[in-house]
Amino acid sequence: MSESGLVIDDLSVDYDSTRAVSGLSLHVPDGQTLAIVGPSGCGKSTVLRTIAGLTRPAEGRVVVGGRDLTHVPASARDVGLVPQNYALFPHLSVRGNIEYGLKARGVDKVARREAVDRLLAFTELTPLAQRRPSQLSGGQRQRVALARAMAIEPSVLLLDEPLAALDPQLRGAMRRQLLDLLGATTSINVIVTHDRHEALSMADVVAVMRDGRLVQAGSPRELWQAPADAFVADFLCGATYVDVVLDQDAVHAFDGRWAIPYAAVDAARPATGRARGRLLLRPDSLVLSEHRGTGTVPALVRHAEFVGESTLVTLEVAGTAVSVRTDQPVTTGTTVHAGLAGRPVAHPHPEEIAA
Amino acid sequence: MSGATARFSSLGAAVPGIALLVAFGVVPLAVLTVTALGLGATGAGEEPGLTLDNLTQAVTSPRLRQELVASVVVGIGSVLIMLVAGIPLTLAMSRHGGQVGHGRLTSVVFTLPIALPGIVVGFFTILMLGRTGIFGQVVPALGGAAYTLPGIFVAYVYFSFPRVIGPLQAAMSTFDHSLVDTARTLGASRARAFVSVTLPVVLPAVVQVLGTAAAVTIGGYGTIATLAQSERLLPLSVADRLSNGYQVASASGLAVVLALLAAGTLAVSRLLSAWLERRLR
Repeated sequence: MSESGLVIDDLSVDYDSTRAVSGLSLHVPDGQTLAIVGPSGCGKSTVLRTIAGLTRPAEGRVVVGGRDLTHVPASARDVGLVPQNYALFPHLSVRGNIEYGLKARGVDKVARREAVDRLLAFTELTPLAQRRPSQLSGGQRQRVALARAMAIEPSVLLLDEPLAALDPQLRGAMRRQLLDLLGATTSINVIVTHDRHEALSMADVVAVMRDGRLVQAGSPRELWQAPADAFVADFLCGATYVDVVLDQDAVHAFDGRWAIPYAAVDAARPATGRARGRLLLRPDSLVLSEHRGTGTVPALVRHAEFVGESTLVTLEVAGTAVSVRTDQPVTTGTTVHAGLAGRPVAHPHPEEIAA
Repeated sequence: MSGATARFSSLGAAVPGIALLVAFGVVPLAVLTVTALGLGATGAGEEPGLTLDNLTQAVTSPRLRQELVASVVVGIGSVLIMLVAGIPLTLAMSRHGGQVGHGRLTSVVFTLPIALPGIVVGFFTILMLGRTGIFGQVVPALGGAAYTLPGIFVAYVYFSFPRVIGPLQAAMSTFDHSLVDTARTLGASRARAFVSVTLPVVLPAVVQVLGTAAAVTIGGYGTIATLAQSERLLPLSVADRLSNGYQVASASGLAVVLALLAAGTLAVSRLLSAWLERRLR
């Protein structure tokens, strides 16, 4: 069988008696980066450990470059791992840490020195080569862990929450640096994260997991534009799917409380009668006003949080919570009138078109 | 002002502890040393007057020297053997969140012997390796092994079991297993990961456990009291000197040697552990 890239085929993993991962299938082409994203406990770290060979799957296969790794021990997989806490060997220097994998693989001293020097320069750690991990900053530790994993020239590089251990102020800069470093590798990279910004900005393929199952996989833009369901919409886009009914006059939402004229929404009138669909409301989809207007719906302000550049508002419309980002000052407990800002797409439910 | 108040109140809190230390530590040790030097009470057949003989007899008397060496060998050796078995066990327990197999039950079973005094351990050994012991009935060569040095060694291995496993379990519970996982993905075999990563990281804690457990084992009296027929250990001679003719100066001399031996083992292990710990930073 000749499968290029990383293939995860119908993978299931059990922890004791609970199924942590269930029937997961994914394909990552050579040289691309996969981000597995989901809330904690969704099974994403288990997938990572299974690819690394640290956890044995109950069913399914892990194939890299056509080689079935399912029963290959971790030490013979050519899979580099950057654990969440970086797991630097505390008794070894930066050089000793990076050198570890090469020593274990029996690479001779001269070749080892050359490879480590190259990686130290690549990760800008040369002046720190003799330091112990305890003498390094969080960002420096991350680069040591990365260099150590890259030293074995892995075919797959796994990163478990690579930025979670860093100060929030540092994350933006570290994310850009990490992207540059990963961009220079030829390996397939797999990043596990609970942060949607990390997933969207760092990956070629994003896989969203929930309760051990794959919910949706695709390019960041595909997922951003068409999240598969309410969970992905909320988790990845901070958005809400609202069920709508399209008839000849308008698009109706919230049990008819909100009638949106076709001029305000990107949707085709059904040929005849009515059709069902759903409307993706992103935080910037709505404008708020104190006054009722055409195509607006009254909404209760549940929370208002001023964050500087804007105010994050949670509205309640007919029992549904909708997030809105607005420039206007709003007060919790008041009623506002929400209308569409742009022309969002109303996705029809093709299977539910009613006469 | 508030600083002075705080100091005052913390001194008050320390008073009972200091008083206990003086009453049960410093005073008896001083009296013991004075007696050992021949300047205190003397027993039957003992000459009063300053002498070092009571202290040096542990080295100069061939029989006592043999007991001294046997005490150190049995004390440290039995703990070392326990460590060889205990390190992998406690590591496995910490990886599975303190549970191996059926978790809590195993944990209880492995720390059960802590409730057993040395004399009971000695009694167990007689039941197993005595002249009519269970093992002796199956393999006649093992009959009476309880009273030989190897048999005593086995007894002290059992004696040190909870004194090693308990502290070791506490030390290993904080071990970061992702270190080993990472070493494995880098290509290290299980054995290589253990020797090159696990062992250097846990060594300071292991050395400290070794020292503490060995100090207790070297001074343990109950086990040897039940097993001493031909082989003897130093704590036995301390007790014998007192009970046979009340040779108090001689007993004090041996007691001081024994105390220094145990305290020395502890001190050396602490120093070594601190030095190893510094090498990790």
